[in-house]
Amino acid sequence: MSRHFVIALALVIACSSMLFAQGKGAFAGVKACGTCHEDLVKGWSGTPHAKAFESLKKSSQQNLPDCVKCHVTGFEKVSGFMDIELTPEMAGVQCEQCHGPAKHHAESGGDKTGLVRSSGSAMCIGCHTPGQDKNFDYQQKVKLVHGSGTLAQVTTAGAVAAAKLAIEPMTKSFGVIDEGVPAKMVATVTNTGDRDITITNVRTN
Amino acid sequence: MLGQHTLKPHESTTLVTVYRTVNLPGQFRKTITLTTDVPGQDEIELFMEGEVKEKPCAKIQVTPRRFDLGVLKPGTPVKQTVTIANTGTLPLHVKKIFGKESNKIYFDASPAGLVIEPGMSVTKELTIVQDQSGAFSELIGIESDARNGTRGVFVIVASGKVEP
Repeated sequence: MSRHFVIALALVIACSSMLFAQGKGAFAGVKACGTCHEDLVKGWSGTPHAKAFESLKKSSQQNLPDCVKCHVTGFEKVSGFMDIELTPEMAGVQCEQCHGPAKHHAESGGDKTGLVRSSGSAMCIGCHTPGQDKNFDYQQKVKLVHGSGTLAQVTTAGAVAAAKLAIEPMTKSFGVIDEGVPAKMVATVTNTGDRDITITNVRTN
Repeated sequence: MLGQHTLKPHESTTLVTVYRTVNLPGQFRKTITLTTDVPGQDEIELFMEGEVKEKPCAKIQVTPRRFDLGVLKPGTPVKQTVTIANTGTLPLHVKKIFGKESNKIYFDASPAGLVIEPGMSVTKELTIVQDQSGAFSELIGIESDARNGTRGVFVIVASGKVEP
């Protein structure tokens, strides 16, 4: 074993120990990322990932751990998201959810040790499961993750659809109901067109 | 649940959607999206909306949630007082206070448990000891039956720096 190799190995071990002492890779939060990566963070801020926690709140699921884990950064990890009161700065799917904890990167002036350049589809499909995101296409969506475009949006029923399928009611308001009481909506779906129509998929958010 | 998937002209079916409200207090707006085999047809969206009134429960509030202990000597205990309040409508049962990463026990209320009535609070003095030099951030979990704990644990954070 050469002397150089031993020195290099010692340096690697020393650096690893330093990182470990700093919290096994602590999170910095998106504000810190924006200090140097302003354009990327600006682009990201317009994506659904940036608003992921807000979308969870809209469906009152912000206290369900199995839901929260996919709408925040570093859930239940040291310096990651704990709850919205304690760690609001880690809400949303931020840079570090894909690229790894970056506190050391931010504080060292850019040392990339331990960061992930591209996390690959495996990271994404952990949350974009067939049940949650049936048509998720990694190759397409990964191009939009920094906001260089607009993610495909679900289009609402238009005049063409209305002419073919009539559904009544389209919206049901339940007012205030007690927790535990199921909210049940019964809608009548009628084919008003002149050919057979097959409903190929029904999904809920 | 859809009665039938293929409809002949002028034929109708029912679509039944149930939103289960257990553990989902608060406003809701659910979207049901239908896709058909009609070429070029957009997806059709239906909506269910309302508000779920929360069932009676205990809720925990801890003050402070974050505290900086400053500079500590290795192995030297530092005391920090926290106030645990029950902001819910049922009695709060605290089981223990522990380090989430270190597994240190700061307070163990077993077997009886510490009971805090709705609207009441208690103070607890935590004794924190750190042995390793450097900055630290200790996640301290409070295990209870509070609804707002994550999997039964409400987390507070103690930070500081250990210098020889």
